[in-house]
Amino acid sequence: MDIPVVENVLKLNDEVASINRKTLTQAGVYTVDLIGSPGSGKTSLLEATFKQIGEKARIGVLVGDLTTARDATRIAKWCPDVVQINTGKGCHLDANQVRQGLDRLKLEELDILVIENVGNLICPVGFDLGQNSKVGLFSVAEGDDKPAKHPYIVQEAELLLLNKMDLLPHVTFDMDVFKEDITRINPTVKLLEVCATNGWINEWCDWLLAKAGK
Amino acid sequence: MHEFSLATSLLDLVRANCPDNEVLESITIEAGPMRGIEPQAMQWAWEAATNDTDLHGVKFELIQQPWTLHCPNCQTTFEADDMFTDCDCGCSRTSPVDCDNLRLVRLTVKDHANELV
Ligand SMILES: Nc1nc2c(ncn2[C@@H]2O[C@H](COP(=O)(O)OP(=O)(O)O)[C@@H](O)[C@H]2O)c(=O)[nH]1
Ligand SMILES: [Mg+2]
Ligand SMILES: [Zn+2]
Repeated sequence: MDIPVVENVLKLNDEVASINRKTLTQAGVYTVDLIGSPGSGKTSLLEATFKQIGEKARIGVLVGDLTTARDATRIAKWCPDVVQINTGKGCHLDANQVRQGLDRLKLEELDILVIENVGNLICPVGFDLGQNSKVGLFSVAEGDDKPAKHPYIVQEAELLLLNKMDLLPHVTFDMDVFKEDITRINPTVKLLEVCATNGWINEWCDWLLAKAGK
Repeated sequence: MHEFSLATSLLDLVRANCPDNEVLESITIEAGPMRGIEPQAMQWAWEAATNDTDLHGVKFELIQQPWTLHCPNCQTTFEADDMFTDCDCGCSRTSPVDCDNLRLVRLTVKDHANELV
């Protein structure tokens, strides 16, 4: 006998995510879920962001990492409000892990919270954490076909960043293909080109400050 | 390996939806192509997640949905095997819509037909 049901498989995660969203909104924190491949430059982008706008806005960071605390240690040089979440074998953060991380931050004192998700372009995308927006980070070194191969992040992101622009002359990367694929998957997503290691991230910083009302 | 965490979420959901006194035989989930679910990995993940639980042996069926694309030129919506498929009207700016479903759609329980009343 068949019993029809229609339930979102991630219902429980999404319920916790709604609680997180409420907590963060009430505390007046703008929250970004930063998603990108391992090595695309997520931690470097955060370091550069602190360097550039650390005085203008108080930014907290939750870092998801499989087993180490290396990213948290890098970020702690710039910011006192960093919490490390080890996911063990998990390839993404879930809303419950974020919930526990939030308990360890003084949310009332923050303007912005950036969640550095575990390096991966597929798994984290489907898990709502309670963020205001998802930001997808690609880098030219990964090749121009990554949006076509990972359409979910392109569709879900409000903003996409293309990092390591300094390496463009040295790699095979067709900017037209990259942009056309993105536009086809998500005609409205915004794309900004950045270079985290030389601090060419002004547009990203402006976007973030505007979102946080700073 | 997001299949494993999906399988554990599924376990809770199945328990919450299965009526008491019924013997569950199989479950069916429906997944959109955006989710990037690998059927074999999902099968193994379900078996691993249910092993040593009361749901051990419950079968798992995955219905993979095709891409659903929308054409901004003629406003039609159609299904396709490839995400980058042009519309019949010639437009190549088609975009995926509703391709990220991930739903438990059916529980199949043991029939009562042969039982004595
Ligand atoms: N050339 C270049 N290298 C970068 C840039 N951003 C990051 N990297 C390097 O890429 C590597 C991985 O960066 P990391 O921030 O740890 O990446 P994550 O794994 O995404 O957090 C490091 O060696 C960085 O120095 C960039 O804009 N240009
Ligand atoms: Mg990192
Ligand atoms: Zn058309």
